[in-house]
Amino acid sequence: MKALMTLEPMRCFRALVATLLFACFCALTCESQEVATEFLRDVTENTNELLLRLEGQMSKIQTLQTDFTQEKRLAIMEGSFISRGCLFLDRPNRFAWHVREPVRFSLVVDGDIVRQWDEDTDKVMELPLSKNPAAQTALVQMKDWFSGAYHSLMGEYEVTILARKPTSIRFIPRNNTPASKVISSVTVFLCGLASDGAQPTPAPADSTAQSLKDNDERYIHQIIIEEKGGDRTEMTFTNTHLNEAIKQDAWDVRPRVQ
Amino acid sequence: MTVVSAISLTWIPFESDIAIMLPEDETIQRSIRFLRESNFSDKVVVSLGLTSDDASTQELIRAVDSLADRLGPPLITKKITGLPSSDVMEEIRGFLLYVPQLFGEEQLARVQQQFTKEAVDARLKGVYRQLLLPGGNFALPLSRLDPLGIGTEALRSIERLSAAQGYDVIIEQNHFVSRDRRHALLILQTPIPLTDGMGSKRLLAYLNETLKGLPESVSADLISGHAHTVSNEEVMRRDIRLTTILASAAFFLVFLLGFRDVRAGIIFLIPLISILISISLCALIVGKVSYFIVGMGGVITGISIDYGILVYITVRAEGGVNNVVKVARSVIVGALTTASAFAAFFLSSVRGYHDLALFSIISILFCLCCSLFILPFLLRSGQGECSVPSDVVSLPSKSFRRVWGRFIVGAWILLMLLGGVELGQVNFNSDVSQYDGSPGEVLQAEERFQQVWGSRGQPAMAVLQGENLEEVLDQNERLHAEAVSQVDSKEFASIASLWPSKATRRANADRWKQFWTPEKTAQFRELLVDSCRACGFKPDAFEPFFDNLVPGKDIDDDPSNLGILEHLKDRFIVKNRDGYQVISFFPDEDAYIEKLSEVVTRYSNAFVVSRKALTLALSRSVSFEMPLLACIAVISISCLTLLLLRNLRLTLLALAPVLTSIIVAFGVMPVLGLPLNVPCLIAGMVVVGLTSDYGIFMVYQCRQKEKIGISLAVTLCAITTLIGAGSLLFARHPVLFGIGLTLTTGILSGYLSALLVIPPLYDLFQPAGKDSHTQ
Repeated sequence: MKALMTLEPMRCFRALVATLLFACFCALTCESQEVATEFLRDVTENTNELLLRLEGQMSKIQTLQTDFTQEKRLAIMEGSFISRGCLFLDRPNRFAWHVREPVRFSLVVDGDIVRQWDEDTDKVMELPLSKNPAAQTALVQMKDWFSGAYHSLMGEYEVTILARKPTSIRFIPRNNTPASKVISSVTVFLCGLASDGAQPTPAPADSTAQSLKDNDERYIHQIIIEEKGGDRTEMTFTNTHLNEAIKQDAWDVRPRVQ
Repeated sequence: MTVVSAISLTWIPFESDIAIMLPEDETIQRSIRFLRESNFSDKVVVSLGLTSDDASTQELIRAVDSLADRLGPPLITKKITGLPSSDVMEEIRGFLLYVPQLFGEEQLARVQQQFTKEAVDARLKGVYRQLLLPGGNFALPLSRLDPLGIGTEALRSIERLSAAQGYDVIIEQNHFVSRDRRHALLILQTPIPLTDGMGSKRLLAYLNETLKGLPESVSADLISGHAHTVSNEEVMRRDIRLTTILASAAFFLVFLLGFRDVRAGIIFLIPLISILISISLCALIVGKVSYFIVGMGGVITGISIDYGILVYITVRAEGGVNNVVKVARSVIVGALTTASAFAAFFLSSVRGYHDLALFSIISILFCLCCSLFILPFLLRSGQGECSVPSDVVSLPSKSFRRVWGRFIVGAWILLMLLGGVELGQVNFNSDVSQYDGSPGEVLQAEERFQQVWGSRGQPAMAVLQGENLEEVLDQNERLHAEAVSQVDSKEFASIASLWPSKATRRANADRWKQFWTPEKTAQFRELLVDSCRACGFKPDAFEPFFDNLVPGKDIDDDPSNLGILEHLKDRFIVKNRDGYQVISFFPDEDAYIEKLSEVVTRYSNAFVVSRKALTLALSRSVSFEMPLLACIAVISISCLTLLLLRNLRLTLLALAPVLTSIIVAFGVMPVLGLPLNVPCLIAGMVVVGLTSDYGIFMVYQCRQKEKIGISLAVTLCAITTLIGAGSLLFARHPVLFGIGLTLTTGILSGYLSALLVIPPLYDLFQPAGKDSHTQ
């Protein structure tokens, strides 16, 4: 009986501690429910689901306008080849690539027609898209990477998620696919941090809007393409606007850059 | 004989090939033979399209690849989804190594023109500008290999020759894709020839089953001659089934209402048996029996039954079996005149007409023999009565003829004049496509295909045939040079513009070596290095060009590893049992055909294959042959009629239904907005044979005066023939329908004119008192 008397307070104490611990756990769980859900999603969401989600989000993009900086490291050139300009994309078949520097150059694809101008010749060249493989490649590249239809690329590419926040995805062409003959890998950095950890250039007009964009996976910050021969292209996009009306002069070849 | 014929039906080979209905003209047969033997007609094209706006070109391409993977032997032997290699860049690089063999003097002169600082600067700036584009450096290996764009001309030839397939395609990820990027092409080769009905059916079933595996967002249209073979055969079979049922039911009704005599069934059995025997004998003599010929079976039944009906009616009349002797001569001449109309077909250059003539003559003669020698014997042995009195249809009374005769003749003359005017409006259509009875869905799929892949249609071809490939390629170069001097070179797609003969390639390679002297090479290198500095390229950026400048490729080296070239050679060079055929393509337009037909006449082993030329040759052949055959038929019928009646006036009278039927049958065509064609002309000649019988019988009746039921017999003959011909009006196949229309209008008008016009005309030609005669 004595033994029983000494044991009872111990049990009460243990029960009290357990109850307190449980209460604390419950409180913590409730407070961080949102964080926990996100954590859980990050852990459990596989590549397939992520790509489908991105595809769903980016499929809503009808128009895109952005500034770009393109840096190419090519075996045939001394040093880096850097160009800057802006691009416009209006799905499904309008695309404009205007280069401001180092030379002024414009290429506009409108349906089946390609118009090209450069300051050197100061001539507008018009050709059917099918007769201009370079424009075809440019259009396909931009449409493929900005369309977000990454899930449909899984047949041709092996897809690896490099990071979740911000999201970055690497595409490595599968063997014997057409892309595998040219490309080693393509890495796409979505909103947020750039590859070197630097923040993307904020939009000058509205910092709140930029903050929203930083968390919006529809925005592409950077694309890095590494080629078989060792050549490498980095395209960084800033001041991006989605689904906003594109001014008509974006589709004009000459006036835009003059 | 009947049993053996019935059993033989199970092994007789039937054919639905429309080619047997084409003339034996050399141009036509050569074109048909070429199309048969070449692999052009044994292709199936699958046009795949996205059905959903959300679906991407990528999905479409995956669907094409997946479908191609699931298709294979024995029904599919080759699958082409686009350019053959998965590495276009590598292919082009490989091809550029052959440029020294492909460049002639003219091209080298153009290269020489580029040896200036301005030209080299401009080229390198172009390469520089290309680098400003995303993905612009993917083509850099090619630019390094060919900074002057020397090979561009050869690459354009590849593009032009690829486009000569007649489809408006762009290449995306090595696949044939439409300009809107929502459709893709899959071209299949099959060992099943178009003429193989059963094989075509198996092929289509296999393809349709495989197409079920396509994703929901992708639809497919099958474009192939096999679809036409199968659908034509199905339509033809359905028509034959329907017309047989309709004709049988109508015959039964006539039998029930008109005869009610069990023995009259023999009349109907005779033509059926004759058809069975004719099919077997035709198969024995010519090997195969066409469905077209069998389709005429119902009509032949109507023709052959006439003699049995005439004998039956006269035997049932007063005088019995003895009447057979009285009508025997008219029945024999009637059968012979009809047979002579068919016999004229033997003079035709169309094999199908020979078969039709053989089939018909066998059937008619068999029926004639049965009607004269077996039927009277069978009728005499039993009792029975024709339910229709023999005078129910008789000559109009004298008073009627006196009052209405001139009016009827006047109306008939007016009708003939009106019909004659309409006859002048008849359009003759010799286009072979009108014989295609394929249903709407096949034609709609082809229309969709035309809309998506361009409406230029199939090109015409200039074909050079020879035993030795190099010799033919050599001739082809000369033909190409002559052709492009006559027509737009961009529109004349020849392998000569890309891959000349070995002798020419050897000469080109030697010339190339002489051109690139060490001094010239050094001079060019200097120019290039200067321009490289100006554009920011390394001095050795374009060294690959110099690495590949001298060696080139060995002339005897067959570039079989170059898929693009092999793919084009497959299309432009066909190996057959006689050697090789080198084919050039050009638009199937009159101007091209006229000029290039002239060019090919300079080559004994060359010819042009074109749908238009084929139609033209067919039209020429038919327009010469048909009037000749018609004249022969009319002359033979007239002579035989004169032989029986021994009176020119009566012969002219007997031919009145012939004139009527021709004018009405062909005059009704423009009224209904239908063109006249070869099958209708054939049917017209059958009508001539039949209506001449009615004329002969009615003139015989007018002279004979005896009431032995000839008018009734002619009426029953016309009804039975109209049953057979009228049933063809329910046919879906345009050939059978056209035949049915001509026969129905021709027989009906011929019969009515025989019954209503001949008696008053007879009165006018043979005044009272002069019509008594001696048998």
